[in-house]
Amino acid sequence: MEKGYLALVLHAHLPFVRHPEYPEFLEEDWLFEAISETYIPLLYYFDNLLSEGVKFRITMSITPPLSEMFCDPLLQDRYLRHIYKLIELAEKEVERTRNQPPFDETARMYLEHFNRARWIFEERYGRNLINGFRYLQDAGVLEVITCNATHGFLPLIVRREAKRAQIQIAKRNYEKHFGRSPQGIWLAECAYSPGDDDLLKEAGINYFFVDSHSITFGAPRPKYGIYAPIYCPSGVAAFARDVETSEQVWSATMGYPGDFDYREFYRDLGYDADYDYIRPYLHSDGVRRNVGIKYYRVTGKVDLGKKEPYVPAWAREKAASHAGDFIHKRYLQMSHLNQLFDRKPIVVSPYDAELFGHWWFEGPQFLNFLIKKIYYDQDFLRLITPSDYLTIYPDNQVQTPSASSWGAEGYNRVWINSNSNWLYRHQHIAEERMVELANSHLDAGGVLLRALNQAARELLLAESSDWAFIITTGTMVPYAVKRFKDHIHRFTRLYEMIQGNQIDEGWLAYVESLDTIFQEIDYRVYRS
Amino acid sequence: MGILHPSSFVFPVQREQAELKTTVRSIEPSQEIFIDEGLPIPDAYDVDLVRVLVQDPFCIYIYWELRQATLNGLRTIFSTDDFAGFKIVLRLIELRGNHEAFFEVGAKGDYWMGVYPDRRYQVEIGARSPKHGYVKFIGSNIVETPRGTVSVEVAEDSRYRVDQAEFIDVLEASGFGPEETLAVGIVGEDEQAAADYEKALETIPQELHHAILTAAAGRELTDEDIDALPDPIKEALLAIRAAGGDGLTSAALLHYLPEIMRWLMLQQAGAAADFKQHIHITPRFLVGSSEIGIMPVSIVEWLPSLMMRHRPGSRLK
Repeated sequence: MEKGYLALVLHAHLPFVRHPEYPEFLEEDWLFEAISETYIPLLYYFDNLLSEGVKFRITMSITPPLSEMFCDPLLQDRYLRHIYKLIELAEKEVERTRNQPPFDETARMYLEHFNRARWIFEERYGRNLINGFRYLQDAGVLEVITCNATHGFLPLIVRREAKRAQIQIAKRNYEKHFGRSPQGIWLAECAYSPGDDDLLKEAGINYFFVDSHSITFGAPRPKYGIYAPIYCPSGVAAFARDVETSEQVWSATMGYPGDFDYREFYRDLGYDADYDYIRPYLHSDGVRRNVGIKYYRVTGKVDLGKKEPYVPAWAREKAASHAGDFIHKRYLQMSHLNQLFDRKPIVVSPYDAELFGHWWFEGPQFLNFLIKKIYYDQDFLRLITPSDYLTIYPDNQVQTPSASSWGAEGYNRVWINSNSNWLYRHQHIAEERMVELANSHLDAGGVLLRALNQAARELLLAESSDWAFIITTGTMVPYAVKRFKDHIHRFTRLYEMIQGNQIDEGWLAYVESLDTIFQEIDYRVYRS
Repeated sequence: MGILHPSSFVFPVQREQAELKTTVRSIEPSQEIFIDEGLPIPDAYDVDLVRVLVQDPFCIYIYWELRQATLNGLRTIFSTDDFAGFKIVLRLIELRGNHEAFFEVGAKGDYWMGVYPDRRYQVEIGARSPKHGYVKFIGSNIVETPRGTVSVEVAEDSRYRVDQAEFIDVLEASGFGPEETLAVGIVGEDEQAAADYEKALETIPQELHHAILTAAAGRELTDEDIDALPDPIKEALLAIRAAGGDGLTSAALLHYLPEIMRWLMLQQAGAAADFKQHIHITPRFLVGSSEIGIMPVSIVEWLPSLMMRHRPGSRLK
């Protein structure tokens, strides 16, 4: 009989990056790398576990921008072009390393990995990975939840109507892709302010997640700490992130991904190979970048040049061993919590999905071992989803969680600081204007309807929390600035054209062809 | 969410060239790379607006824009001489205690304001003259600063009520005990910020040092301990104690350590500095997301001069 429950939550998100105006675009690689290294490996392992008869439950948030990119024909075509190039490179690498153990084994691993990714993408799921996630949800092993429409950071959106739009549009988009209503939501950046839960209630969403301090600092004091959800006054449940399991995976010093046998992320063939050899596999600017083939392991705290060769079998062994360690630590944790509480605790462990496979190459293997060991090797711990927990324990304490996020320091500093503050004036004006447009055009049709819907798309894309995050972290800043300014510019022009009753249809069609997200959108969601 | 790609055409991953010498055999073409900085956006919108955003329990961000036409409206009411006596002001109102403060400002601008946790704030932009007093033009949205530590409120529902000792156990099990919260550190790899932080650690006033050690040991803070703290923190702890929070004032102090460290770094920077606004200082219980772990650099920047007048020690309640 189990002593408690574990809810693994994988948050899969990338901003909407799609540039048909260019024959290739560097930032589209974010999606392609995540498809090959994270989303397909996860689908592959989950599918195999299901076929083997392993019973498990995993929660995954697949954000609306990611869902929209999965379904986009242009990005599907470009992903195929990308993976075929990688297969070609891996085939060359198999030849090149034929007599160079242990590199030969690693080269063969990559070739197999890329061939499998191509097959799963193209043949198994017909180029659309939504099909895979939907299949696993329908089979009862995944609970797919939604996220704010464009990962908008709710506490920094001022107009209530604009916050509501982030939730309502997410819900409709989820229904479009998954054929049912979402039970739960991952609030972008785990960012919550009291009252946001009312918007979830309106959308029929039953639960969301907050960081640990949101519940421990909530009012009244929580009886079960972070080991049981609370109901907000609206009746929507909030589940808190577990500190211990977060640290086991994320900590730079103690986390599993830093193990010396795991693959080193920063030592990549894109930099190591002879330039003429690697040139056909770089972007047209010819600048060396990661290509995704890496032959070295973490090794230790040594310079990249001193890394030792990667040995897939050793890494696999470590992934299995870490899965065992993870379970053992849950046993100790559950035993302690059972002494404190009069109900079975739930440990909620959310992670960025892209950690598994992309950053931590062996992450999907770790999850595979973890799920198997939980199913076959023990009986004190059961994998469940938040929905399952609320069925088991429908009565929970009522509390108002504290405002919080999962960013550094736990509040809003990552997204509002002296580098990113300039964004918000423009964003808030656009929100005001969008509400004004929706209230003053009750039943638009034709070109006006198209312009109003496109204005809503541009606002939503400008609201992505990704731009402020990138600006704060200081990497790829020009792209984030470009994206924000492009969307504000387009929104402003649409607003002026609509107010001036002079819509440039040719330009509108061009913008519609660029920012294609949410074809189902209805601008009236912004009405007061 | 951690954006996937660690490199870009503008910021390629920094690598030691020496390590590549053995493998790179041909010279790469040097290229001028076009950087698309985006389409133009308006400098101003010709509207009257003021907005407040919460950064954390101790800081809010305010921006505003006032049209000349709105200001000129005063001309229709007052004589030219009287009009000349008006200055544009920002009025900060703390709604719970009904405190207020006025700051002379320009027609357009923004400020970072040091505030208290667990308070509701609103801002107005208006004009003020010694002769005619204050005239409001526009008001902002209302914001509530997070509490930043445990609540004083105990559940009314007896099924969920926990006494003090039980709640301390729950906090510890949840990762919020002294040993977890005591460990705070700079997020990122900014060496200067790290050095400033180390310096601040060395210069913690003795009374404060004693208070932190007392809290870390799980012992209750004395009046003298609490007196040594910055005002906003002192007030929060006194509220917890007033609600019968013996044992929890220590935990609360440790929850505020990031702000205390920032306060110390500010004190140390002295009159030349306003506020090291952009330094992320994170307690251990928050370690564990891409928004924390992958953040590469903390940039030190200085705030506008208004902050000088409203350091944590002299904030508006």
